[in-house]
Amino acid sequence: MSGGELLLTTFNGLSFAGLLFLVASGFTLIFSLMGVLNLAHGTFYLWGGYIGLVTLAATGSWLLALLAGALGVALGGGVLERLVFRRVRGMELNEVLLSVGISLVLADLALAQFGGDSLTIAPPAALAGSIELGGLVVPRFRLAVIVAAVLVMIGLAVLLRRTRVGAIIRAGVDDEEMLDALGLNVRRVAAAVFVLGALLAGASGVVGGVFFGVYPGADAEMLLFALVVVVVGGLGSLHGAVVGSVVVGLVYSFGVALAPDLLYFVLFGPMLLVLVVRPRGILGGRL
Amino acid sequence: MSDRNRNVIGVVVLVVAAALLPYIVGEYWVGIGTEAAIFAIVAIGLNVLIGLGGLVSVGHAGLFAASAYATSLAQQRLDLDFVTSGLVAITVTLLITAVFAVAAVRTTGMYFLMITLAAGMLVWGLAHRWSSLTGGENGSVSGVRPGGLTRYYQYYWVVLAVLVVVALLLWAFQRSPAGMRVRATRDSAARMTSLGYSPAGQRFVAFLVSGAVTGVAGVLYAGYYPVVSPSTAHLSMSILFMLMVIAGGSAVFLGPAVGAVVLTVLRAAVSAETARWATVMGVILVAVVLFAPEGITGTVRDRLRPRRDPDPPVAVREPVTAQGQR
Amino acid sequence: MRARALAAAGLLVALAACAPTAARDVDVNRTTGPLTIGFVDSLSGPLAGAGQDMLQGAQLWLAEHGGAMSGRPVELLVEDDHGSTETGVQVTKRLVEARGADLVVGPLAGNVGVALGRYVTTTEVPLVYPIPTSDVFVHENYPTVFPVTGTAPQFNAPLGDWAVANGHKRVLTICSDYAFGQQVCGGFADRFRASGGELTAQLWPPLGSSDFAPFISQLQRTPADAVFVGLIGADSVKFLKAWKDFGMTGKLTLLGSDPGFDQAVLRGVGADAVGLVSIGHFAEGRDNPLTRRFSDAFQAKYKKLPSYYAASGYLSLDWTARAIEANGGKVGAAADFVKVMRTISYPDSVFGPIRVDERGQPVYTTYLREVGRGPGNLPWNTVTASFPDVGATGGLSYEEYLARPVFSRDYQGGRP
Repeated sequence: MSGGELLLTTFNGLSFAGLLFLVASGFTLIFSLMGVLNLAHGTFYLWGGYIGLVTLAATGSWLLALLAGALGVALGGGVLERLVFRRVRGMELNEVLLSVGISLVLADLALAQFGGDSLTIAPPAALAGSIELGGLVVPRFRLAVIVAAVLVMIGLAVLLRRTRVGAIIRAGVDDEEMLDALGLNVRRVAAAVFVLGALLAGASGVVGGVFFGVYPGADAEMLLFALVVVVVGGLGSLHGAVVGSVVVGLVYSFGVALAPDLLYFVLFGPMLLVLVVRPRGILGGRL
Repeated sequence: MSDRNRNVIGVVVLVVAAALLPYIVGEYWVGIGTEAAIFAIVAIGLNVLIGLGGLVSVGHAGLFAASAYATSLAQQRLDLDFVTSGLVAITVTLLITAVFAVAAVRTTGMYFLMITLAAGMLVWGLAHRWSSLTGGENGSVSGVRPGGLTRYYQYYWVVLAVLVVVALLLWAFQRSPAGMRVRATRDSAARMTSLGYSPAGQRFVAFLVSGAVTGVAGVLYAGYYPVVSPSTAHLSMSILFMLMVIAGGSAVFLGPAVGAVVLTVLRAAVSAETARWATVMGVILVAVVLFAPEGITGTVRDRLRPRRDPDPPVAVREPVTAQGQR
Repeated sequence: MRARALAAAGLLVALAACAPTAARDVDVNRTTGPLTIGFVDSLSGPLAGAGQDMLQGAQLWLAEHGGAMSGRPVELLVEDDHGSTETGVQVTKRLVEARGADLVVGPLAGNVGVALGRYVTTTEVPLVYPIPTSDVFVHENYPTVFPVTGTAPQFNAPLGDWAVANGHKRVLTICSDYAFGQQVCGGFADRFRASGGELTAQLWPPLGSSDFAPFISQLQRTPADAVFVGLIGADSVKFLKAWKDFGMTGKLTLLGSDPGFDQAVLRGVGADAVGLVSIGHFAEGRDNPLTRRFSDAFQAKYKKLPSYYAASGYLSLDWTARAIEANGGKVGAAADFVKVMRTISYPDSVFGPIRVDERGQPVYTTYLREVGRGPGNLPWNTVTASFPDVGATGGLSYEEYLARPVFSRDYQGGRP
């Protein structure tokens, strides 16, 4: 692999990692507080993309599309949490099974509504086209994704570490009974976290829709990626999500360039290995 | 008449009724019945893990497909007949099951689920990419049936007979010391350890039994369809199997079989009318989890008589810690 | 208890000796009454867009012909195989065994096609296969299958000769890594090398690849001066987008395969597609009354220009109707029906002139196409050159062709 190709593949890996982080951060956040894998996360991503697509077509504004996708899914997630997930709170396996059922319905409804074609979201005019970066020609939007991911990471870290809300969330992870004793409404906090996770998923759906497209099956693909990311990086850890995203993003990018045949094994093999050898993941444990 | 005799007669009546199916409906629905019977075998096998072992696997389609592929390849490449290729396939499936099991049995709950998910998808990936062996997404030619029993209704009776035999064997297993140990491990791994048994070891046994049964089903499946393709190993198939067990009811022995029949027939009926089968499946899963975690048979059983047997279904169990240990 | 059990067992054995009712009760020799045509298609999954087109082409034909063939009203039973081999077999079984189909048109997905080819040989139902089939259908014998538009490698072969003749002696191929894509590539690669071209590398992105950026980086450093694009549907759209995003426009010549720059792809690409060169057996912008009428009618009804999938759906029904007419209004025995299909030829059609060769394989005129601006300024394929009489064997005799393996990733033409 030449120097230029190496750099480009690394760049691609990092921009994919950016998208992965946007998806996985919501996923790991929900897991960290509720102890449950929300397997409907992929369909939240998908619906974010479709809502964004429709909004863009109606208004022509990418920003509105992003907001609509994020808020629409956040709202939907909130409703689902209130009506359905809340009823099985505390029963882990039930929560997972429930999320599977919901994902089946959401994915199928999207197919019924939007059809089977693969659609793409046009990037905002300001971020369209390519830019030259030290000899490399790369799409502006992909660069923006990296920047956005870093900003979200900083934002989440600040939220968790420096704010009262964040302290409550982290406390919720550690000691639920204590929170209850202090009179803080655990249910409210859990719901808020779920909504935040859904918001991130919806937003990443619009972002992903630009360079991956929105199509039936994108939900399952993204969910599997998110799963690999959080398992490798560490379930329930924000830093783990960062590490996991970068690892998976780079592995994917180099894997596709060097050995596209073995892609599945390159992704799932390490996941299996981590689960067996060190289930906590590289940085598993504390949020 | 004693309870037990009543149960036995009930089962015999069911079997006879099932055997009479070809006289009531045409080839298509007998075919659906064949599929339902094959999936019933998978479901009661999967229940050894879910119901007896308390371990939810979403990777069983990987084992099922591995068996079907092995059967097909043994017939195509080695020119073996139905029975011999079947034995080869079951052996291969057991080996693959052992690999799955080694990876998974030190965990329970969420982690067990994720490991089986990854393992199942790895099989799917292999089926897809190793085209020189599996034919890629064109699939591998299959459809060989036991000599002299190739007509659709004859094959249906073969599958039904195998289902009865497998069910009897699993029933015996459940009540054997090995089966009791698996159940005890589900209820309290700590107690088993203090008694000198390895929980992972018991789970390993359960997994192997489950894998063997799934292997048998895979052989029959290869005989039913003209081709085995990678979609048979996909996660969506594993989810369908899991749904059959849970919707049918994991606490009653025949519950998963009931679930398999109901869902297979429902799938055929719904798909004939609408493209929204996935939505139906999702709604069923949500409804079962929220309103009837005991599944069809569990709920019926509870209505008929108060529950004496303290054997809660898998869905309602004490939460596991994040590390999946107990 | 035991006596009763024995009696039950005896009854079962006795029953087992009697055979239940016969499987199918469809009278294929009817010449009146409704005609039930099963239509197996992929209406979800990565090929859904093409699947939709194929169905709409068929429905357009029915609308133009009063929904009838030889005076018999047609009942079109549409089934979705989701692109899955298993589902495809299941739904076809349903059509044949439960829904009384007289014949089946379809499928779209190549993997389903191969499975159905094998399945229908065990039934009494003919399969009318609308879109290019796997090469397997030439090598193996399927007397009850009629391939309306030839095989996957067939129409890509002339591009191989043309590329060399027009100065593109070093080419890299990028094709979808599944049977159909591999055969499309093989068709091109075989004739390209036979004409003296050099294949510098072959890239194989998996079907349904989300991201083509990694492949672009490999393309940036290639010594080849042209790229053969054998990608399908949404993958081709994504590839072309990445091509533009990474500043590759104009750096290398893109040579499109038959499916690669088909209308189904052009729709997703838009104005950026103008100028793209490809090979194809259908050109929606072909300056010909039959093609123009079809394109106009399709666009008026479905608000988009037709792809070759749409044209295939349309032609399949037309060809079936002519065969039934020639057969006196009946379908007849499956193998006989296919024989009748083979006797029909088209001096001109929405595709162009078509005839059937001695092995029952259709022979088409193939076009060198360039994307121009069509009605409503939408991109469409126009014809810049014609290659008449393109058959299934890429110019070889059948003996030579059948002596070689089926095209696959490992066999891309030349001496095996």
